[in-house]
Amino acid sequence: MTYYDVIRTLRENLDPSSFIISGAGLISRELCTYWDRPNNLYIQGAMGLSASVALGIGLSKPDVQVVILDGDGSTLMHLGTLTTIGKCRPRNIIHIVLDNECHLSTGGQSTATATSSLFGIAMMSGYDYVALTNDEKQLLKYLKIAQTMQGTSFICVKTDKCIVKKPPRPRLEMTEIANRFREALNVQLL
Amino acid sequence: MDPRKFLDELNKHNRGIITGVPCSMLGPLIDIIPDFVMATNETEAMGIALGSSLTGKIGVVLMQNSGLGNVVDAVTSFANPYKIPCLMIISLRGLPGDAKHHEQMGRMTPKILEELDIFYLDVFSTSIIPFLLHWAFKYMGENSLPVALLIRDAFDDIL
Repeated sequence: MTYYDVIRTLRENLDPSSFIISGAGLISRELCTYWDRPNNLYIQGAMGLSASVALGIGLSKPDVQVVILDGDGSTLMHLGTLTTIGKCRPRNIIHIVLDNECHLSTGGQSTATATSSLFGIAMMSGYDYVALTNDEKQLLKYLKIAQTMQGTSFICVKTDKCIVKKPPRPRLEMTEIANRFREALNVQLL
Repeated sequence: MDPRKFLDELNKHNRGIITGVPCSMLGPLIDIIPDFVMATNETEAMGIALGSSLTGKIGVVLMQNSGLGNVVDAVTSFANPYKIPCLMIISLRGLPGDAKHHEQMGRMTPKILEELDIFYLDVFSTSIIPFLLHWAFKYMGENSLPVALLIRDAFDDIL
């Protein structure tokens, strides 16, 4: 399964009102290219920050569905955030990690997830629901469970170490990304 | 300083999640915040606070200046370019008489904040807190950027 298959699965199955916080590198570029919408917050820099930003949003807006879309490299960079999410356990977070066991955006240098398990770490961090898959049909099933349960879920998706088609950087201004995201959340500009 | 007075004043403003990493100077304040979100490091605290700010309630980070290095990327790559505010309450260690390992960061702290384009104000006493918080929230409302309060006097234990 490629990252593109995961994004397509999300596009076809996530609630249109859900909010996606995507992480550094190709993931944000891919999401912006294949499924751009105001409800997406592309954190193109600040590697490893998207999960904590999503936690802040999820705790502040308990009625909206918040989806984290991050890579294995970013997740490893701030593993502590998994324990904080597991402690806070907001009822509205789906944490999806595209785990290709490498830093694909910078040429495919290997990470440690071939020898360690993000699934296991999430399991022991206190998430309500944790799943691991490399199969699209299974992913769809796990996603449905995560969407219907009231809890904090983590889905580790093992993806191929290949770039489908290197997408361009989002052409949106960063302030524009933040402002339209706020508007989608119905927030007046501070 | 009086932590109760500080929290009461903070609650008069449009504040959201209060998160952070403890310092003994800030401990008595953290102890009276029932919904404090304990972060594993200052980067994560910034992320949580900035997420809160995106929902319209300004996030607050409590931290020691020794953790300032941990916030740099969150500020330069996210808060500043996306224009998202947050209130950083930073205890200033490294003043004369403090432990040696705080000394260099104590000297560097104002310079780092200046380089990060973070406006900051020094907090010396309880009586000045209402004015400084008013100013800080006004600044964030107008500029949509992080602002810092440097805590020079420890909060008193009241529990």
